[in-house]
Amino acid sequence: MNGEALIILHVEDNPDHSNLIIRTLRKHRVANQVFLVEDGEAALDFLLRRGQYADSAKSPRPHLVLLDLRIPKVDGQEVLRVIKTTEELLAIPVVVLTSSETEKDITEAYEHHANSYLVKPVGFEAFTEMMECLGFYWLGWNLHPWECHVRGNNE
Amino acid sequence: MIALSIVCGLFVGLINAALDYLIFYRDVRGTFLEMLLTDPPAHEIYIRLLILLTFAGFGVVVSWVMSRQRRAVDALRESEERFRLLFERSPIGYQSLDADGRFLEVNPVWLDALGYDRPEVVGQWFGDFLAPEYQDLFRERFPRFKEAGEVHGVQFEMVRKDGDRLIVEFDGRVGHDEQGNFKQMHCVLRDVTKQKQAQEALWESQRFLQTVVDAVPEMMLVIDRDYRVVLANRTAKTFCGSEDPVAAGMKCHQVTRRCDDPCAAPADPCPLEQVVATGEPVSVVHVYRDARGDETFMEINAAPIFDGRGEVVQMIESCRDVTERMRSDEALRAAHDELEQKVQQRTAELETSNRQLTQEIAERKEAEEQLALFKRFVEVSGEGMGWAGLRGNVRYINSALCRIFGEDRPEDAYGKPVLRYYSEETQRRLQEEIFPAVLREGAWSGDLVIQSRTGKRIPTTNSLVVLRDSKGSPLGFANVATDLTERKRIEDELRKHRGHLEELVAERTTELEKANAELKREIGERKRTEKQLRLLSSAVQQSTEGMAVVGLDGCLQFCNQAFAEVHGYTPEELTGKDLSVFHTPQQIPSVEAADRQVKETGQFVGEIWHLRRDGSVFPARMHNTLLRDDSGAPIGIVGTLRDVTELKRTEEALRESEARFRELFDNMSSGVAVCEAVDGGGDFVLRDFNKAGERIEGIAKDEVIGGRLTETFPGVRKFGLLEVFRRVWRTGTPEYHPVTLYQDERIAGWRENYVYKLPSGEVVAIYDDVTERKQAEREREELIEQLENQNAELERFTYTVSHDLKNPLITIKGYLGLLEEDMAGGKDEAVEDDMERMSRAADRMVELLDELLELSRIGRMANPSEHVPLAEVAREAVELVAGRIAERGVVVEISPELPVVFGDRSRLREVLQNLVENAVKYMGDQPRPRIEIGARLGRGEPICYVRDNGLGIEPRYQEKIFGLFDQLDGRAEGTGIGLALVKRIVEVHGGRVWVESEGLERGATFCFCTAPEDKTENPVENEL
Repeated sequence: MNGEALIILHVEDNPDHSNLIIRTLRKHRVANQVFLVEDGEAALDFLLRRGQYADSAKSPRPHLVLLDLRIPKVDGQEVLRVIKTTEELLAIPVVVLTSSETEKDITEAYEHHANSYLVKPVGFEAFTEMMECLGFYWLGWNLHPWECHVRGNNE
Repeated sequence: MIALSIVCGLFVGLINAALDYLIFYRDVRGTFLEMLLTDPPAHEIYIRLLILLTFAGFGVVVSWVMSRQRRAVDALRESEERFRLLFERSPIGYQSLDADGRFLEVNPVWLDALGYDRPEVVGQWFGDFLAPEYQDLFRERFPRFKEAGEVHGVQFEMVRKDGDRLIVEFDGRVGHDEQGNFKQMHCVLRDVTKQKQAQEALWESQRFLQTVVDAVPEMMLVIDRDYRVVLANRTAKTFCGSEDPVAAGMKCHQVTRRCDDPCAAPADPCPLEQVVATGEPVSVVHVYRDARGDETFMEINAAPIFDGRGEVVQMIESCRDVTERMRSDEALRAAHDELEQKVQQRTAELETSNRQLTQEIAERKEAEEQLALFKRFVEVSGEGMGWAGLRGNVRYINSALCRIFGEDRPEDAYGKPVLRYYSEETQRRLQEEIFPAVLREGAWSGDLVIQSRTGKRIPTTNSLVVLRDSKGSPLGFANVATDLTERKRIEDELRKHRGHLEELVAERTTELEKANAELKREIGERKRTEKQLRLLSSAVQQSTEGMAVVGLDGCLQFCNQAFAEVHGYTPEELTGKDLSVFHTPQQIPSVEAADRQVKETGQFVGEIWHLRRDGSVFPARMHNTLLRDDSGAPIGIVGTLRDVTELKRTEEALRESEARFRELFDNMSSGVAVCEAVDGGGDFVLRDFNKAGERIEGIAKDEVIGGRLTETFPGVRKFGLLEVFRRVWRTGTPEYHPVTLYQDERIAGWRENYVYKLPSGEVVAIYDDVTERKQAEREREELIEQLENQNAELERFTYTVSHDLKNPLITIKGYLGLLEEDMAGGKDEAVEDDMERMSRAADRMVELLDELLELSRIGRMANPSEHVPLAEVAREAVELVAGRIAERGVVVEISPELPVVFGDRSRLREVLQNLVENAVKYMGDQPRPRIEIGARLGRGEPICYVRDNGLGIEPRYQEKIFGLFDQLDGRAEGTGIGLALVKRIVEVHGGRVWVESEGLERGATFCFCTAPEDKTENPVENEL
């Protein structure tokens, strides 16, 4: 907290959803900086600092990754797997945020060490409440590994 | 399945209803949107949105129904797995039991074996199918089986429905559920009744052998290399004082000699040592002395027992008391010695007489010589000498006197009165004076004139003496008369006489020598004859073959020990007996027939029943020959006999056993092939083949027997069985050759083989044809695969409904909230954006539902299949997308080579339309966009393709793009159903679709082919 910039990497291919999420997050002033990528490949490029994100100034270490599962090019589960098996990334909390409620997706996500699994609620109130809680919990109360703060300070 | 159909039907119905509603509004869409955008009274919006919420309701319901569906499929899969386990683990019979020992499942083999129908068994307690004496055992053991988790080779006796009993062997394994709790017990059971029976037969055979061995009057032992007795017959046990030498752990010398040290050469050579050293049977004689000093002679015949490597591991020893034989041998030896002695004595006698003769000859020779000397003296003497009998008749005169007498030869004078050679006057004087004087005085000397026959008168001086015999009685008169003028002639005469005598002596000597040689030859001959006779005699006496000589009168003239013994007599008792003593009256005709045959043909060979002294009978193999004297006249019959009881009994038992096994062999349901190794185990020749084998392979036994395995069954090498045969032949270890496909030009099928080796070295394969089982398995697998595919599709569909249909709802609901806020805040721009997003989401949902419906309809081909010229259809498809093609400025080229395919025209058009749309959509920044629709020839089938020079697809995404809603680019227009639709249509046409692309910016070629007309599957009512 301390007024530091807390960074979220938001992976979402549906622009309506990402807009909705960012707006609700902003509304409750929980997110200082949100980086939006629209497919799995871009997400990995951002995290691993490749391609257009090769410059580390453009790709700060996020304090939280909000990850949709059904995304183009590289599947969300695969993105999760890479994060949780890459030494310098595995400490970053990853919250899966998707519309899928299937048991298979949930089980697989936790098997890949997702830190949380949230289903996008149908309904504005519920949606807003969830985003509020998510913001308070992950970016407020929850403590983050040291490196994320350092990176955050650089921003 | 029924539930699934109902749910799907319901779903499709609901979708249809919703669509009808939407279609209605689509027509008035402008108005609807206008309404929404321009004048949106709140309640109106709610009403419209409620409609949309209905879709959400569908989604949830469908999702719920689908998950129900999945559980049903899971149950199906679980049941299937149980079935598969059943078949995989039960080559023979299978059952599964629940925790109380009640049947859950049995397979047809089980039912077949026990003669029940499934409903009679399932749910029943297993114990009720056991023989009563096994029920408690099962009750007691079942909890332990469950605890152990596994059980092998347990035998029970089961009762068939028809009351017959079966001996079965079980292998069981407990199946656990995911929590590790007992779920069921899988049992595989094998009918081992026949195996048991065969084992019984084996025991019986062994008992029989034991009886036979026990009946042998000789002691028989089997001995290990450390002298330990491992087997002994009853005689041996009796010999040991009824203590069982095997049980007592006795050694052979303790049994036979009652001595703790092994037998040793030279007195009693150890047969075991010899057998081990040579590997050959030996025969030795041991002499045992008992406490009283009586000797017992034991003949030990020992033969080696080899193991598989040819090493002597044990030895069979049979001991026979041969004291009697040894004694008779002794007696024979004594007789022989006596004879020898006699011959020597006789020889000595002969030699003595010979010597005497020689001596006599020598003496006679000496006497002759003396006589000769004397005669010579007489003859040579110039004096006339002679003698006459008492009557005065001349008996002898020498030549001198002969000359004097004037006779030609002295013999002329013999017998003549001596007086005639005297003058009358002298005659008187001799008679009256001289003879009486000589007789009286013994001698007279005086001159006398001899009147020669020539007329000459010869004066002689005479000296007369009386000759007397040994008793002194006078024999005659001898006279010596002297005429000196005749001396020379006398000498000649004497010489002549001597030659004659010498001749005589020589002649006599030759005669004697000849006689002597004759004698010696005679002695030699006698010796030889004696020897031959002795050999012959012992051969006959000791032969184990019974031998007898019968006279023409039918009386036994001679028989040997064996002949007598086999009938229970001694040879002495039998000599002179009539043959009828050996036969019952019933046997007589066959005996007479044999007798006739011998007399007619000179020989008879065959079996004749004989009677023993104790009244028992036995079959004897006879060989009778007519005996003839030197002139050829028959004088009797000589016969040999052997008791063939054992031979016959063994043969009978063998024949029975063989017949039993042959029946078993031919009646078993499994195929059996018996093979013998050839080429040092490289190949095998079939020696036997049963009926089941003939049936399975569709080949007659006669065609198979004697043929090489690799020639009769050319696929055997590939099948893998040849290698198994070789291994089994080499190692002797039985092997199981699991279910494998056998194939050659003639036959093909799945076989399951058990291979083992017989003690004869032959290799046996017992096998089953499991082709039908395999086919059923394959069909089941195909069915499962089909089910799984459908299940996966269902899952994808469910996912789609729950995920992709939900996304627009999330958007609409979310923006509805924002809309309120924005409206309240008077942010008109934001309001417009919110509305726009909601509208798009609603549109997308409509589109999704539309295409889902389309997809679900593909399974049901709307139109009948026909021959469709693809070129025409391609033109139609391009026209349908003409707007977008023109917009992007794409050049489309349609090849005239496109084939005519068999299928649903409108569906095929959809395929091409989607592919063209897809190509246009992913054209990227290509300055000269181009699409080519063409065909090429693949593996015997035409492959159609749509090629573009657009973005291309990385290889890792090439499979993914055909999945439902899989879009590589989230922002790309369309629902992501297009390629899934293409895939589905092509698959319904029995073809396949794939993409070829070298990667990004390299363009893509979408290829598809369809099945030829005859293979197109009948359009099915697809459950989607």
